[in-house]
Amino acid sequence: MSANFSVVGTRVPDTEAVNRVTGGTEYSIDVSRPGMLIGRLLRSPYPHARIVRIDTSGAERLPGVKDVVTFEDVSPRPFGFPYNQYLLDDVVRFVGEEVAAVAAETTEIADEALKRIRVEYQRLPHVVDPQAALAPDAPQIHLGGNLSLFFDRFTEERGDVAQGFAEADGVFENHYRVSAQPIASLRQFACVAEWDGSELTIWDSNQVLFTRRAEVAGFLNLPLNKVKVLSPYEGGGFGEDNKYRYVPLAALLAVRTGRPVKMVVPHDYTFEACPKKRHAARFDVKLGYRNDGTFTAMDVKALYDKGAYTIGGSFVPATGAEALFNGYRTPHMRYEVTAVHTNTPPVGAYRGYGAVQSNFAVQSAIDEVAAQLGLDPTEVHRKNAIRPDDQLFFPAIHDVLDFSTVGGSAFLEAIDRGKAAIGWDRWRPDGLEGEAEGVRKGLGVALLTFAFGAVPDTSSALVRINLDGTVDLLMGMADLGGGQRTVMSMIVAEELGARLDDVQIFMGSTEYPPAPVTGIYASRNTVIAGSGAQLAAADAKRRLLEAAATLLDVEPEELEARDSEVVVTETGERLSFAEVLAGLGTPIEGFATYVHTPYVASTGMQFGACFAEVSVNTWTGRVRVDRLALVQDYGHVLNPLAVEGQIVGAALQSLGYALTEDYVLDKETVQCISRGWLDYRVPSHVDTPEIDVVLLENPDPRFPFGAKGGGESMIVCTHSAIANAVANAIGVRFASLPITPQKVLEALRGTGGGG
Amino acid sequence: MPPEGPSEEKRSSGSSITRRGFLKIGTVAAASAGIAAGAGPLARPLLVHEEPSAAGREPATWKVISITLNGVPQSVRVKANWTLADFLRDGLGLTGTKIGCDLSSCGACTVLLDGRAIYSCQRLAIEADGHAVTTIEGLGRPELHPVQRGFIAAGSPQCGYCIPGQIVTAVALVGRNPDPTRQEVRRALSGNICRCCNYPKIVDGVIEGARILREGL
Repeated sequence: MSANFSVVGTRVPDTEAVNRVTGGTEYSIDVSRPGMLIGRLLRSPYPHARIVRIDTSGAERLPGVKDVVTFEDVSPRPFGFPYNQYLLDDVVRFVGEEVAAVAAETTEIADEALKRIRVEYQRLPHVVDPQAALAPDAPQIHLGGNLSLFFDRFTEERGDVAQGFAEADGVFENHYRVSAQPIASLRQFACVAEWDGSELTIWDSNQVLFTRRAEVAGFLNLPLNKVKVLSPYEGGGFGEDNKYRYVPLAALLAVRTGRPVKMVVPHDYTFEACPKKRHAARFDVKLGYRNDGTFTAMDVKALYDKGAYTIGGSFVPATGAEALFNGYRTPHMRYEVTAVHTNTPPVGAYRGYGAVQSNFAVQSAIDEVAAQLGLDPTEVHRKNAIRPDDQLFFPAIHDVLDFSTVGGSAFLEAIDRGKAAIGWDRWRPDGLEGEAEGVRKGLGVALLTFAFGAVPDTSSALVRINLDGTVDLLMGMADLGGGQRTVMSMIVAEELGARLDDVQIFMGSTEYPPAPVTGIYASRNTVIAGSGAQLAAADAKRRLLEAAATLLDVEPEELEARDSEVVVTETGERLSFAEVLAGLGTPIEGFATYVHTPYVASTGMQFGACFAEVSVNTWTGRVRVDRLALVQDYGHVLNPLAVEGQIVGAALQSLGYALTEDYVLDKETVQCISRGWLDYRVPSHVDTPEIDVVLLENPDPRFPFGAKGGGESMIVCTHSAIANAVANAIGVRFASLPITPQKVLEALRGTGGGG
Repeated sequence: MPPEGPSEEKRSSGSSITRRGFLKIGTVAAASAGIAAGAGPLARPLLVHEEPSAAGREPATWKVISITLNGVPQSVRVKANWTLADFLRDGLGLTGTKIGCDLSSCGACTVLLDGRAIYSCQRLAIEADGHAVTTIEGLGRPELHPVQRGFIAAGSPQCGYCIPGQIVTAVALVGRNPDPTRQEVRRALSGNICRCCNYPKIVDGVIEGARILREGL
């Protein structure tokens, strides 16, 4: 694929990896400012209550306390869509909801101050079960009820499922559940806000610089150009952004006190409430099938639990439809979802964005049908997966797209290559003997479809060729660690014809052009910010060649640029970038804005498959993943080193969701019980299986050098493949996650567990 | 309309008893003299920069300890209730050592104490008295340590937050096991969580770092 390119396609370590390995990366928790106060939040102990009265006088009297704010002190304007959340409210809707904020000289004083705030709560009935929340007499969590106006009842269909079922030899039905999953990145959540009398500066590790700027400016009634947001390093970046209360609250405290305020979120709060979690969901899946394994109808009814608030992620429930559409050829399909509020911690966008949940349900169901029919599941997928000559179906924009233009061969290729990588010839319908007594092994597969790009947006960049021939690249975006910093430099170097080492990116501040405006998420950075960077580089190159043409006395068309030199193609006569600039006498600047249209935003598609090999210890119930084969279509892999990290990282996060991550709320108090790394067990080094990464390249010509976005995809299907492998190993189908040792043992003993 | 429950006066608690709260010695001044009983928050004006009050700034108890920090013997003043992590980060501004949980459950705060990898959030600063502490900032000066080089080449960091802890633990490992297997690396680093789950590449980085240490660049 990369025969024609000199920079993209090469394995390049992070261009600023030195900072990461020497402790030189500054996250917002690391920022200190002179005269800084410490901010802390008071949180609700109840799942649903009205605040009748707050008495902050005790806190304010405490020496060292500089300010206390409650709902009475904050702007009454809501956070953005769906407009049912405020900075602080007089109703609390989940345990852990923010009630007040204090700023004090030290953390100890701030925490003591919290204890001295007297809040009179009037408890209200609460509801935790999403099904119960739908009942007409359920406690109403928001004005207007437990469903908001938009996208909370959503149906996508094609054909007629009734007809499809009528044509079937058999109908399969089952109910599946997945739980919530806190985003819980490793870094401490913190921000620093500083007001100098006319300008506000925010240090906040986030993915959405300009969104954060607009939020803070809006709440404080400041002009946008008086608010600066700095986020050089994220420290996570799995979607945990949007609508943090603690950032505008820190800014408010900073403006009111005239001192910088550092708001630090306690560790347990990360799990309890902040920032948000993956929607829990339930699915009723009904498949109509023929005895040869062809599906005639696919019908899914889904219920997504929105928690008390939706922090971004309004489209998450609708995205669940991807498990069906643009995955399978079945002519009759229906996906009907309801999304309802409950008095549990807020939900939102989390890597995989709604597709993770439905993938488990649909891939499990397909696998169960295959097992019932005694068929190899890869053959069943092969029969039903969309083919190169099919069309992709986009009901949201009422359009179709020729699949072959964006990766037509992906599924069939993914199945074949994945089978080879995992050694699928060993597959048996009843699993395999393990390496030790009592151990059973199994193989499983799951396909994935995932959309990237999401929201319409614009992204700009400025490319400056300095007088010495080096290149500045200015982009207002954060560094999540997924290789964003490096791949942007690579795109510019490739497009401009510069050496990669000559390109220096400046990023992480709203002082630079928005790249893009709404932020980095939805696997969209390479395709959106990358497009903006590419266009800006092309603009700079045009000016460079014009200048060089004058100096060399040729036409610009006769020139090409590579390795930071401008070369006359015919004769080989050349000038270095520095020589061209010296002749011109002034730096060259290229600037462009890429427009990510609604059509393109809606039609970026990723495809792939995960194959899993597991060992189940039938004595201890422990499931170990021995091997994964991860096959993913990246369009064009711009930096294999970074891409591998994304694929494997996403897959291992999904492994945690399948086996070890159990988010538990107490039934009585609705308090989060899994409040730390010891209770909420994420994968560690010793959980790592052998992993084969197979990269497919079916370019999408609309994006830089044919690349597709793909940082999320493997989190969509790995857990499903693992669950299918477990079913193959021990003949027990788990219709809910995580598959804990207790569940396995109960299932094997026939005392429950399955489902 | 849902029935309204009885009003409840509730002393809301914003934090549980912490290790540091338990050790706290008089950080809060007993008297509130000197602080004006001011108007409530609604009437609070925008304050111009105010001198920090002595009450808030007065440290509880300071102790002087002797440590060798990143190879440099020195005497330093530490708060009695500081963890070693607090001291490094807040006392010295060495923010390369990260805090992930402050509960000894994630490994982000790993430093070397007399060459052994420990969680710096798990020790008080005063416990380092008479000992040698090495942080991420102290590795490989002025050149990069081989393990740091290995991490760069292998693409080990993603978001980077766990990386100082992973590297410090790895340095301790290769110090006693110069040619570890991948399994040995995984076991040794099992106390360092990576939420990005970049584990295979972290192991690659350690293996490569060990190789560079043995064979040179």
